[in-house]
Amino acid sequence: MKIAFIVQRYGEEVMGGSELHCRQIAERLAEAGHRCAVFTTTAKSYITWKNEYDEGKSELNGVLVRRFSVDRERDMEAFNRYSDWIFHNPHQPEDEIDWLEKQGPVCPSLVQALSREESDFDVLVFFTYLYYTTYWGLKNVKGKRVLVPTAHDEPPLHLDLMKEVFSRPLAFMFNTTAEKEMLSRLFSFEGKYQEVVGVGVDIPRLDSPLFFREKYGIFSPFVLYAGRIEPGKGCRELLEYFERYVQRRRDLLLVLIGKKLMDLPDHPQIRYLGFVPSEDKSEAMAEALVTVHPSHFESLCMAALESLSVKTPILVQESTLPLKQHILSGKCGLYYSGSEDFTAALDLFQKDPKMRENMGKNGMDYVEKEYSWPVVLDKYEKLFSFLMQQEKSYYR
Amino acid sequence: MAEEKKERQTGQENGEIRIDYDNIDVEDIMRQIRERIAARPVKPVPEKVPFDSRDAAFFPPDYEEEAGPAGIKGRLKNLILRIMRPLSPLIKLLILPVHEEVRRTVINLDQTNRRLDYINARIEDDLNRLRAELDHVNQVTNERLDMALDDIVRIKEYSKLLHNLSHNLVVELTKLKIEEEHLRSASRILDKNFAMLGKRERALEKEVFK
Repeated sequence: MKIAFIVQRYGEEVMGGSELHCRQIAERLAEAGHRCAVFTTTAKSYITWKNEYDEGKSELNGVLVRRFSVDRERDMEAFNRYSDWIFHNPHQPEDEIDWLEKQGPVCPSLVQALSREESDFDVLVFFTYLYYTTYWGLKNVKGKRVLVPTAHDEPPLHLDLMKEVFSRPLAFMFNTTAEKEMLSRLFSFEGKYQEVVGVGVDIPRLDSPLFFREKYGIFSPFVLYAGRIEPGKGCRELLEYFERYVQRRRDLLLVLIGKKLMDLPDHPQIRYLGFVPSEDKSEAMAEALVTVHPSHFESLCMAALESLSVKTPILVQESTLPLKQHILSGKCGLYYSGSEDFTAALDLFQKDPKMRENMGKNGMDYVEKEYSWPVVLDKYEKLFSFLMQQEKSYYR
Repeated sequence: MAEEKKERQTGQENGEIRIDYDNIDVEDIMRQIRERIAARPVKPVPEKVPFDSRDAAFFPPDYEEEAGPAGIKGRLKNLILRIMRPLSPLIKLLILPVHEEVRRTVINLDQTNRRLDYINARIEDDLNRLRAELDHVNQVTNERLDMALDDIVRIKEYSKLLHNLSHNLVVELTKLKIEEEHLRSASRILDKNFAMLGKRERALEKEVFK
């Protein structure tokens, strides 16, 4: 089958959740024999949408990549001000279109190319409901449209504009049941194909996790955070809770890995390792007492699944329903909704290694059962068969 | 019986929270955690203390400042403090860096101890691995030696058999040689007899045709 993916950014250097999700799905489907093409922009940064890649065609791991340049960069400050206004004040439909333009990435050439060439593809898969490329892309094509919303409960979902986004696709591929339920409260999916699928996780082969400790000089038990280090991901709250925790307990470190987008306190029990190779990340996850996922807004959280795949339980925000669902379905971690919960959960993980071990095993089983690549790809194949059958019945 | 089994499966390793390890119920664990948090006596929220000012190595976790001086002891303490007040900057100057140095040394020692523990554990692991590898090599070598010895015994037996075979062959060949000589002699005698009979035949023919 010929499949087109439409996503706001794409590339090996792009590590955003939904972008990486899209790349992994496209590459796996290409490996399975489908002809995959990606329509994307030349931007690398989701903050500025600055054109950094070359425009045109290229190939990445068996997938054809079509890049189109972004018309203008994003002024984050102006966008935040406008968002703040639009989310809290009565406004007109045109204001929402303005908001979408400010959100970006403004890339009309991508939309035009997609509209022109859509007949070359059997299926069009859009990633992330939130961006210009998805809204205008969905509006301008007539083919078999699939949306992978990667949504979490956040103010843009409540804009009227989003009703159009969620009414156009013929099929939806959700990351978790919690995401599906949350979106079902806001939009109607009656008569549409719906599947909870997520993304596959490779179970890493760990030769010697102790090399991580030696390489980075970490010999104490530690809690790990892996991901973008920024207030929007709940890191400020995490640091505050952890500092409060270690005032009385001096035997635990907080290790942070990933891109740093905020200042970190100068504290001997907080270690920032920067951007580490993926093998080191897997080893760090395997060695951690627990990995913590403080974000209030997640639709899947691949870092959590990676942690579970190496038998390390997770500690998550109670308010983040997809993550809480991982824990309740997989029996593989604890959740918190304040510093006291956080402290008690960390204490319990330290005091009860048997509970930690069993939760780790449960987590690995959960990932193998729900998020292994054969399971995920099988769900996509079922989706494609459904869309093809629908087409046949239409022409009969 | 089933209940008894379940009771055994239910863990209390953390000392407080009851957990069925075979079927972990996260919501139940969180409920127990929150019940315990709710049951705690309400304490005044402590001020956020910067790390450098207090250290666990010197203050136990529940350390709290003693109440202010009272009675004669208190008055005496106040008097001493008043006398020493002019010297307090000097005392601070002398004490604080020492405290800081001791604190840093303790942290360094702690880190060094952890490092040593880690290295010891690694050495122990490596030694265990080497011992296991040596045992394995010994076992394999012994097995191979046993096999080689078996081969040697078998080859020795083969050699004996070959030796016997050679001996028998020599005997048989000798017998055959003797037999050959005997047959050659018989053949020579037959030749002589044949020649003599020919002569006799010719002599008789002469006598007959005279």
